[in-house]
Amino acid sequence: MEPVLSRNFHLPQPPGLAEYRAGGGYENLKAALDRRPADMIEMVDKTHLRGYGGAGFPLARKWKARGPDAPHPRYLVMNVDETEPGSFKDRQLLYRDPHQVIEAVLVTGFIEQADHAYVFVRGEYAEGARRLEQAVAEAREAGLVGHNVLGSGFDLDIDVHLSAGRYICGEETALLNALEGRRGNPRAKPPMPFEKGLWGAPTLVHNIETLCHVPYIVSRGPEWFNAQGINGGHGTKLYSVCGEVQHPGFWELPMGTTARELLYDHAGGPLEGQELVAFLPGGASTSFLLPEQLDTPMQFDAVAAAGSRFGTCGIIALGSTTCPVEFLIGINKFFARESCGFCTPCRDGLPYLQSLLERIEAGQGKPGDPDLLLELCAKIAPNSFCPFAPGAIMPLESGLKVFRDAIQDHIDRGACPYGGAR
Amino acid sequence: MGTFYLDDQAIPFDDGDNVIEAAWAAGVAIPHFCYHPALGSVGACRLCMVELQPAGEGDRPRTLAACMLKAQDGMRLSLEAQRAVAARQSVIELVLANHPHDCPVCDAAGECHLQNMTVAVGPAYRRYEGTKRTFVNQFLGPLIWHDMDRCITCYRCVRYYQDYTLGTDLGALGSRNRVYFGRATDGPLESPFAGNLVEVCPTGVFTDKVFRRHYSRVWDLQTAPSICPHCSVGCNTLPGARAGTLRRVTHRPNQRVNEWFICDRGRFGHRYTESPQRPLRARIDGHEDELVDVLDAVSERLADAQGVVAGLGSVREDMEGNAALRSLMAAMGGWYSAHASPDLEAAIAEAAAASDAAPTLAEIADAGAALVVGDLTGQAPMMDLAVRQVVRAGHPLIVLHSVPAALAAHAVQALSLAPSELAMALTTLRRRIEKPKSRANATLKAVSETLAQAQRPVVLGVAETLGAAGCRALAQLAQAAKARLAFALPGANAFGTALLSRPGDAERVLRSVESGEADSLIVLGSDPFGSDPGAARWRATRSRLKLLVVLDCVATETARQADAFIPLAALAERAGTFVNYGGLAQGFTQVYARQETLPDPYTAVSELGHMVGLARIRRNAEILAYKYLDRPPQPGRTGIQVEPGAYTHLRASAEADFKQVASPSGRWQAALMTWYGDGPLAAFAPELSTLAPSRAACIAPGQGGKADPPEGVTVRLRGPLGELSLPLRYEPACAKDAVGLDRAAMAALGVSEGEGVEWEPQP
Amino acid sequence: MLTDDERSHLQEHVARYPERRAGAIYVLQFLQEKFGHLNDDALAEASGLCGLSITQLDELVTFYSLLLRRPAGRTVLRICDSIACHLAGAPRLLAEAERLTGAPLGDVSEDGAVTVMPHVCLGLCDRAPAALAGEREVGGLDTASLGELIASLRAEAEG
Repeated sequence: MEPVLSRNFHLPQPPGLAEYRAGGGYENLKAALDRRPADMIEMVDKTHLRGYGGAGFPLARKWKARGPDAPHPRYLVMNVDETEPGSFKDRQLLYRDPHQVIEAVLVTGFIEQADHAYVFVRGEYAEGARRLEQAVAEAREAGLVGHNVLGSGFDLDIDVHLSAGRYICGEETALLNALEGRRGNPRAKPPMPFEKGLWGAPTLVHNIETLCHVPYIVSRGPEWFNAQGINGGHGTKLYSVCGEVQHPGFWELPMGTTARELLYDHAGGPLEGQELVAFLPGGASTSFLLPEQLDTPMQFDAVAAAGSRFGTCGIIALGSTTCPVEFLIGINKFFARESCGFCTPCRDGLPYLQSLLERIEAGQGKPGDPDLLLELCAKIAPNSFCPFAPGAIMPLESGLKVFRDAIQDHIDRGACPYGGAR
Repeated sequence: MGTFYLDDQAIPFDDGDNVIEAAWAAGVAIPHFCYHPALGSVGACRLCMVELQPAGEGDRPRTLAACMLKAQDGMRLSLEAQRAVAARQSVIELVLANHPHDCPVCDAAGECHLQNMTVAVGPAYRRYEGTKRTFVNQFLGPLIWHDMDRCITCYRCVRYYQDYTLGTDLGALGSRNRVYFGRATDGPLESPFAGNLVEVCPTGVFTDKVFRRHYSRVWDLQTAPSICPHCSVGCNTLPGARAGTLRRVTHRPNQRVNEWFICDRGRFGHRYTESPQRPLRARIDGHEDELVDVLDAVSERLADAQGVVAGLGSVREDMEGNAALRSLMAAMGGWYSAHASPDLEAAIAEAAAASDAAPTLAEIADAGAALVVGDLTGQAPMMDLAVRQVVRAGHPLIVLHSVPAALAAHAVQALSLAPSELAMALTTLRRRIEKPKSRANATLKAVSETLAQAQRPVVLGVAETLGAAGCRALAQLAQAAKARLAFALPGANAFGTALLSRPGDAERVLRSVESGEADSLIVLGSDPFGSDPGAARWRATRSRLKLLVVLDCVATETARQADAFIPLAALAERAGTFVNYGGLAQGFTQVYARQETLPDPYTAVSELGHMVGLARIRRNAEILAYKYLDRPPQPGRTGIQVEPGAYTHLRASAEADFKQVASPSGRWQAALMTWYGDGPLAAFAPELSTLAPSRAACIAPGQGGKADPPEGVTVRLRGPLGELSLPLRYEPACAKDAVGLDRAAMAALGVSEGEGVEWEPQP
Repeated sequence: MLTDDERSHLQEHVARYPERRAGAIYVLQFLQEKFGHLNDDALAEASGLCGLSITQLDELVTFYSLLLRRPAGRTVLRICDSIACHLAGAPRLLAEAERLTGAPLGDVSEDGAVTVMPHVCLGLCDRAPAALAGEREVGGLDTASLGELIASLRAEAEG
């Protein structure tokens, strides 16, 4: 497979402007500037390109929902708030090829006829943000960013905003609040950001990986893009695998590559002396898939059909010597701590779940605990203000079913059969 | 417009209504925490979950927050569906997980929304066995008690404090299940409306710290509808008393007046009733005696008096008492005025005459632009709060002020002008609106443009600061700008006293005393020998009076100097009528009785009349008090708008010539500095008074020529009546040539607003 | 105190947005970089620049995990304890870090060199267990390399 997004990843340093251009960089931008935005929207529509930030919303549908007549100013926001445990693909794009990121912003901005672009980078990726700012400065000097992009008459300036932390800021409306200098609580929808976003103006927020594909689509065409995928997938995907595998890492592969190929051929399979017990296919906020589902193609529809969520497709593997209750504690601890604190079910429900999981692990679980956990999960997810809590509940609810026996074992024995928390 | 169905009950709605509002209007109370009619919906607590039944094939039922759900025609919802019930019970279980369950020792018990929702929704038992998160509480000042362990994180407090009142020193700190509502550092809350937190908070996080000191369970309190006595807005209140003592005051909702809130003076200024300084016994010639004996002695002296008797009523006394005094004076051939100061009388008449279409607070809040003249915050705090809603909606606010005004910080245009310059500036503005090319400086030009372009503009002025000339100029400006107009009048019943006055009353009374024609004076509820406006001329007359009779419920300077003193019931201890700034007459009723025998002024004055042989005082007073209403307003009911006929009478008063305020001699003019906790009654509230700004003479920096004297240096001030030393404080918002002084300082010096003072730094 | 140049720079930044408060995060990060943490002086400066009260700034500082309201060590060592790093031994590393620094998590070590805190997923899951030492990424930690890292941070602080 010809690398697309990762074609410059092998370089010891990210390519500067000259090197990027020498490799064909900004040619896609030129191609885009010669096309009509409406045509490019149709091209992307034919690829069924969906958001790679976790929500999986079809990009062209988002553009069409806003429509061509939205008032100005219009904002484009690129979301590089990657904090989903198990996901580390966006980092690569930012750190290793900042000009590719800029080209993606410019092409998308042109399609959206945006007035200003912000790249929202999580604060922990400070070095990446610095590299991007340098690249933006280079690009601005060369007439690629700012006024009259490449002489096209189109203006778009790019501001890199470094966040001050918190996972919730990856949720698009919380991101908007963070950009506006407010606490990162999500906003109610409706109104949608494309109607009222930043400072009340039409705003579109997209994941970095999603946008990086757009210049190639508008340059090489949707048929080419679709042909890159396999097993019902379209295009290429930056996959990441971590957890209890021999060689955690990331690879650009055809969308639709199976979990088996990712976990075994690329990540080397489970750790020495262990077996694969289960895996979360799309980052922490997805439900478990089991070894019998290893042949599931890792693409949106197939993963959903298998009962989970594609999300960011950062695969987390659980091996056979780790207590599954401890695994669930590790997952839930993250979500309980990252709750923004706005709505009751998430804010007060997740710690309640944590207290039950911890007492089970400590050997103090009560017979009613598994049902109580499931009951609480069922009331937290549908009643929350934003998708954070439903995401938090997914692995837990799934784990409560998949590991029911192990949990019961903890309760029956009054101790953790794996020897307790590490 | 349309109908939706909630458990098969048809509920009508208007476009834009959300489900919780429409249901409430139809009498269905959907359980909620974070929703509040004044604060709107945010969807945080998730208690108001209803099940939406699927509209189409293949849709699944789902739960939605009723406060965030816009009503749609034909929508089918259920409160009772299992999913919705389970959702609500889950919210109760979760917010109670960390709750201390300290109802037996919590002040909020008995009026706690959390208690009510828990009982209404369930479950009745807790099963959470984990650790509870706890907090360290803050000192938030003398008025509000803080207990964060009880918090259910509904965010109402910060939405009220920051969004509604534009306060900035209370915030939501932290995150997840450790959100903390407090200040960056311990210290008194700065907002004049912080007290409403006590009622906005659905649990016991914010409670009334003053009430706490002499606590009663709320179900043991005697309550009855009352009207706040501290300013001319006439907020509806509910005082709560027990065992013959007043314990607290809370708001009474009234959409036509104060809507859902009251200010901190209204809430915490009631403490004068229990003040150790409160005079509860009648006195004659320096010794206490029975009320009836003192009245008897007074009636004898009145009968024996050589000269005529004069009566001075009060803007803070009710219609009935003022009417009784006027009737008594008429029957005795004496002189009556409701006002000690002729200037203030003229200003009130002018202002009241122009107030026939005065906007309610809600109508002010809805304005497309607001022009405020004077320090509204100190004189009518709830009007200030209404103006803040204009700012919140993104509409322009213009403030003209002589001394620092809290609202100026939110103004698009703020102008400092000395008191004597205000009328001229308003006239210039009016001319500019009528003739857009007429001359004005750049700032006034900008102001006139803002006003001219606004939709639904509103113009508000402080009558005392403006004086009669300024009130007239403001009224003319409002007419030119097609703006609605209201004045903050100096007293709960100032409008009412204007109804009872004739042009020149105050001057006639003063002249009669100054000339010696009147040698007896009956003073009801005012302080002409202390710090009321007009004290300058009055003080000089004390020695001429052979008999000074004072009726009041607080220990003023005038009461101290009285030959005979009649203690009155406090406002919550009696029934009466106040007429607010907009001509709305509202009745208040007796909430409780003290151990001591304390009459209301109507009874005391009528009794005095009876004792001097005048039997018809009571009847005449009754007629006079309600002359402009068809009937006395019933406490607890909507007030009665004063009849248009009254305005004709007022206009006649207003059109009379008023004494032009003399140009100040010398350079410096006195400008009144007051604050939201100030006032003749509120001054006796010890907790509230601890928040009073420190006494000072305030000027703007940079007027010293060579060099400004250092801040804090003592300055000696001189006025017609006397001298006074105060520390100097610099306030950039003071107008050039203005010296900001508190009411007591102005009275000591013998100056009114705009009159000349001299000052110099002490070596 | 900010220098005049620094203040102008921040004023320019803040002026770029439709509302001044949108520049608050940048201003706070700048001040934290300069003062080590956001002390009262820093917040007073931020207040003047962004038009927010101290309490309103505290609302932001106490929400966002990378902003420090209390003094921190010269280097803030953020050890990830999200799931991949948890599986790879983060809890043990955090306990070891407390032992080595002699300070509880979140506190400053006695020599002022380091503050250790747990942190959310750093996007270094392929190098678990991972940490950020200041802005420097460190992966594949074990108790030995953690010990070396902390020792080097202390040496840096001394020198």
